[in-house]
Amino acid sequence: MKPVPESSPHDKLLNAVLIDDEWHALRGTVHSQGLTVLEAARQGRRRRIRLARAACAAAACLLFADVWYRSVHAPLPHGLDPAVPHQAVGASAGAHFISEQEMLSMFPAGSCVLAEVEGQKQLVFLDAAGAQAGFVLSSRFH
Amino acid sequence: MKLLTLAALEPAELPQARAESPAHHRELREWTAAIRAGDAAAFTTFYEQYSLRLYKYLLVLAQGDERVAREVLQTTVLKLVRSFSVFDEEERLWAWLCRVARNAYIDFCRIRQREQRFVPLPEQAMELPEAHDEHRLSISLQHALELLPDNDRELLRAAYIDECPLQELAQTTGQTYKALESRLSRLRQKVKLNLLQHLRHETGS
Repeated sequence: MKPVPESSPHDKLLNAVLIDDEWHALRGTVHSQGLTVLEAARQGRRRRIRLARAACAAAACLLFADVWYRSVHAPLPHGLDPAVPHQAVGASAGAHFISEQEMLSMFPAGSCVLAEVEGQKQLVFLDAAGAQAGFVLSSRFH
Repeated sequence: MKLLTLAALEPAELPQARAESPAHHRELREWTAAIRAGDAAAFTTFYEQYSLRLYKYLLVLAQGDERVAREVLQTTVLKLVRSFSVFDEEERLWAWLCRVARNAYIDFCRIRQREQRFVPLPEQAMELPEAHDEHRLSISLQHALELLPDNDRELLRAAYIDECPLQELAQTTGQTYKALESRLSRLRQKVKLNLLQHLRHETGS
């Protein structure tokens, strides 16, 4: 590429007059100094780019760690505390959750289901211990 | 051989806005971007093309003081290398180069002013338009040549403007090749001395 600077026929004479040994020496010196500075500037630029990349990577890591830490250690909504299963409350739907014991206690005493166990139909009492002890019939069955 | 007349040495026309093609703009942009990116080959090409032109500009700014012009050229080139800009027009590139050179020269003068305390800051350095360096140098060259005898001017023209082979010139002038070389060398020295003196007096007055 080479954009040609302005020149005229008189430039040839002017150049012949101005260009001497001292000019050649200066030209060589300044050129090599320029190349040295150019190389140093290029290396400096590369160093800055590397530093910037490292800083970006570190910032991304920190951000990720922060997000992860918050997601792991964030306090659960009050109703979802696993230590209090009886009072579990659905966060979004507002539905109540109950334990198995609670569910069984909702059935009347002596409740049973007809279940098929190993191909045979069996009567399964929800309160197995109560069934062993026997049930007291209420007066209306007499 | 033609006589070197003053008409032949009229100041070169000032650089005019040249019609530059989009391809030229693109090339210039790529070239300056390469220098900016630290491409040594691109810088070398730039330096080959512009160092002498910048030196001439600085020579006018420095009123013919070669030592100052050379010192400031060194500073200017290093400044350019550190923060090269991207251009797509040659004129704008040259205007920027001149601005950097002028600022480097002003800085140089300020430092010298502080050291010596009596050197005035040259006002013309603030005013000199980029395009006028070649014009002023041409005028000074013209004056320098006027001080030479006709036959010497004729010889210079033949050797450096018409680019006649020296062997041929030696035969024409009836001198040996070596003697002609020596004569041309002395003439160049004399013209340079006159030119620098004219620059000094012209810009100093």
